[in-house]
Amino acid sequence: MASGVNLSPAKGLHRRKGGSSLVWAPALLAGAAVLLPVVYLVIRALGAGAEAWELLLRWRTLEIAGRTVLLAATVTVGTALIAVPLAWLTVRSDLPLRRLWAVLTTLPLAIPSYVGAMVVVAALGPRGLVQQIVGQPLGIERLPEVYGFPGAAATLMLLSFPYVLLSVRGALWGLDPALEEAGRTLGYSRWGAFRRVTLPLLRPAIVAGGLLVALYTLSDFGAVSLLRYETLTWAIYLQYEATFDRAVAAALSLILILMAVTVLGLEAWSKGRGHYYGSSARAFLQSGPVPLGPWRWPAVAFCLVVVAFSVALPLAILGYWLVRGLAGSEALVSLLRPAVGSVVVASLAAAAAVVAAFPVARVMTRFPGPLSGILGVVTYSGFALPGIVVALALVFFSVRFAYPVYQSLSLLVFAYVVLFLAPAIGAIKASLLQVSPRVEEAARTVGAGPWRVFARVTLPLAAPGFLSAGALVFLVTVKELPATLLLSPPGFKTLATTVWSASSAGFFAQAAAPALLLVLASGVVMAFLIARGGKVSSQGVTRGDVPIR
Amino acid sequence: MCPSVELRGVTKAFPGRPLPVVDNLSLSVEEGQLMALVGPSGCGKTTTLRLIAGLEWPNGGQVLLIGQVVSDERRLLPPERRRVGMVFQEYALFPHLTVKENVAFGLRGLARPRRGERIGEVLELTGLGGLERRYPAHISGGEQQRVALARALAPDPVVVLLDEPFSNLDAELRVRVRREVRKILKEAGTTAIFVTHDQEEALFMGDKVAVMNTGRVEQMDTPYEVFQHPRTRFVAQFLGTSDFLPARPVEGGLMTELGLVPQVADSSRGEVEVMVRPDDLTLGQAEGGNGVVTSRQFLGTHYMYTVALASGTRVRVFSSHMNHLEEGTNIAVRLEPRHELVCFVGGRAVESRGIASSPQLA
Repeated sequence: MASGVNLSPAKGLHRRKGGSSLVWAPALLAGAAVLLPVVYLVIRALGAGAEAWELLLRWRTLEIAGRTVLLAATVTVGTALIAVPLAWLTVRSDLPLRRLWAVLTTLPLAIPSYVGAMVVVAALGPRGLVQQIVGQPLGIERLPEVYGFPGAAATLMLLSFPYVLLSVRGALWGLDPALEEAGRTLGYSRWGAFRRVTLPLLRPAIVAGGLLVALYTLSDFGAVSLLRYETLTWAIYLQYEATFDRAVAAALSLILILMAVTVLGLEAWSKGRGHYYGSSARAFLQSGPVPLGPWRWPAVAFCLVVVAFSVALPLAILGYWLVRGLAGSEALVSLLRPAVGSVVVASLAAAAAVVAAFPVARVMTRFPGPLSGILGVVTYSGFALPGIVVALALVFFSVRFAYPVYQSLSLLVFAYVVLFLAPAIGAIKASLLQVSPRVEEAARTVGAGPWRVFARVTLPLAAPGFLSAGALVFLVTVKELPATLLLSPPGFKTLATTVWSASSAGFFAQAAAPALLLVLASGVVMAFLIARGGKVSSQGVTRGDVPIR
Repeated sequence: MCPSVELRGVTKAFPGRPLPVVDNLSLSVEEGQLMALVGPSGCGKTTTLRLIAGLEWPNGGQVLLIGQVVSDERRLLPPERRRVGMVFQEYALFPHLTVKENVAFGLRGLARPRRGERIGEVLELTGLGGLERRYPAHISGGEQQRVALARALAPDPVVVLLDEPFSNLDAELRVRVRREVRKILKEAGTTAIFVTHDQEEALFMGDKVAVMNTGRVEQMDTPYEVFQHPRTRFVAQFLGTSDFLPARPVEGGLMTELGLVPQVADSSRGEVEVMVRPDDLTLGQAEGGNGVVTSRQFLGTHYMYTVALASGTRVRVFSSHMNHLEEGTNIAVRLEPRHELVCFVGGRAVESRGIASSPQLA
């Protein structure tokens, strides 16, 4: 035989299998890490016995839970009322500067909730801007109370309506305008056709967006804490800070987990329901935008008001306090320590999340099956659950089983990985999917072994995905508040914690500079998500994801 | 009695497009008539339908329904008040409503018992009995087509407009469905206008056919007339296969490359062209041929050969499926029409008369 290929020795042959244990082990390890804190919390809460159940049924607990539900429901309904008209105006009508409004109305997503709440307090609070400029000259001692339900609900509505907006816009883009025209030829006016045809067809998109808003509101810590409306997240924090009463905090967390899981379940159910068909590009070419006629200017005024209150005024107020702080010798140097803290911890988190995400992304793209499906759900759960719950669980766990890491930077980084593994996996998966298995197989056929194929082919091709995953985790970590508050080593400061503690103490000038930096960082995250989700289409920027706290 | 639908010099231009999509178009459709608007894509036929439905506003001219002006450049009766039924190209069935609810959609003016009756009538007419509770996503393409038609017919419209109604169906289904649709429309006695780019469909479906090109109607007549006596070169080429032989007037007729045609035509305004269809020509012996086979297309019952003549003019000829000729074969083409041929000057048909048959054309 002239050929040098030798197939006879049995040791050279590989068995058939769905990937070696070398591939699966790190992926499963990452999944287990995400699962650990929440499972532990549930075990702890359930193991607490009769005492815990009694706590759950106490009047005060029910009151807090009721407040949480009320807030979530109000914000959800409110966002739908703002978002549906905006979506229709920016997709279907001849609104002047339509494209500009479409961009401007997504910007509130770039404002973290605690920054939004800080702005509200800084403007309308007892020592705020309006009191100083308008109140004092007129001799008004106190403005109407900004704290409590109205303030929290309005703030969260103005910050989270883009979730519904993007979802409904996507659905409107995909809806054949011929449907509405068919309604018109069958005897319905423009409004009648909208109500009878378009609105029912948009319902799934409104529900999907609304559920994201509900989850965002349930998980929110920043706004409710600064605006002093005691929902579950803030109650958990207060219990933890004031009394270190673990049983109560754990019981409250359990209720919050149940609520979040219910919303997630509803979301999965609403997505799973048969979605409607029917988009036709040709029909789009046929019918132009709907003329608004005399409604043009009221429509513009509506957009203007929404953008003013959700974006322009907040930025202006931040700018005012920044200038005032600089003039009042509020040294920018004080920004240095929290900025360095944020950068250090976010870089570590980004690196750790990418390392943990890669094996999971790899098994999910190359070996789809029940096990990788479960891995997907598990890692997603870390992202979907409120940050405060995950942080609290890690506190409990480390105090009991790993005391040396309690209040250490490594535990904080671990918490970030648990929280943000899912978006990192998403980014890496997207780029791994671009690498065809055929290309890897081609490398094998020309004699490269699996490691060489990985190093020379897969890695270079997927590199952009690793970079974007890292950047994404970096930016969301910089924004994160509740876990950072709970898990930071003593004396450790980040931009987010600085904004929060300065605003809760009323030092708005101090909070302004870090707050503006954070808005900038969030703006980049948002642009990134929109660019990655490609089209701001069917599910919007949140496609398959959950609002970023 | 005024026509059901009439367009008088209607023009529609869209911003950003240099030429009007519909250009000074006039058209009328009598009650109970089925009119086919046929033309290549982009010729303005769908826009014409939308102008009639009130979904577009004309820049000039008038649209009339039963003698009433419903749009001109200043006024527009909105679509919901025109009593116009429309079947959209992708059907635009309401996906959130059942078949029955779709059909009932336009019947809100009727009292409840009368409404139920009407739904029953229309469902029976369109053969949709038994599908009332199904959703559009769960019925076949042909059934969706009929639901769209039933929905348009239910409010008893002045005219039903159908926009490429069969383009979403596969070839086999299309032939069956168009027969059904024609039968339903005829049974309902409705006036209907339908748009298609398929000449065969237009000739089959229409009582009248209007051939459109670049926003104008080139010819409007019965299917037989537009096919047999096309008024422009465009119509001749669009409906059926046509080739054109240059001809010069001689004693006893018109002389073409394939011999004398015993017809006289007015050639005062330019060179005459004689239109020939593949069935007007036959293939003779290979020896002493006047053309060369350049390609062949097997059509099952026969071949269609493309033959290049000495001058370079190409003609297409039908021949028996038993007559196998290879490309490059030298062959004789003969002109053997059994009817007068249409003559064109400058792209338009001209008056032409036959003269007593001549021995040269055996």
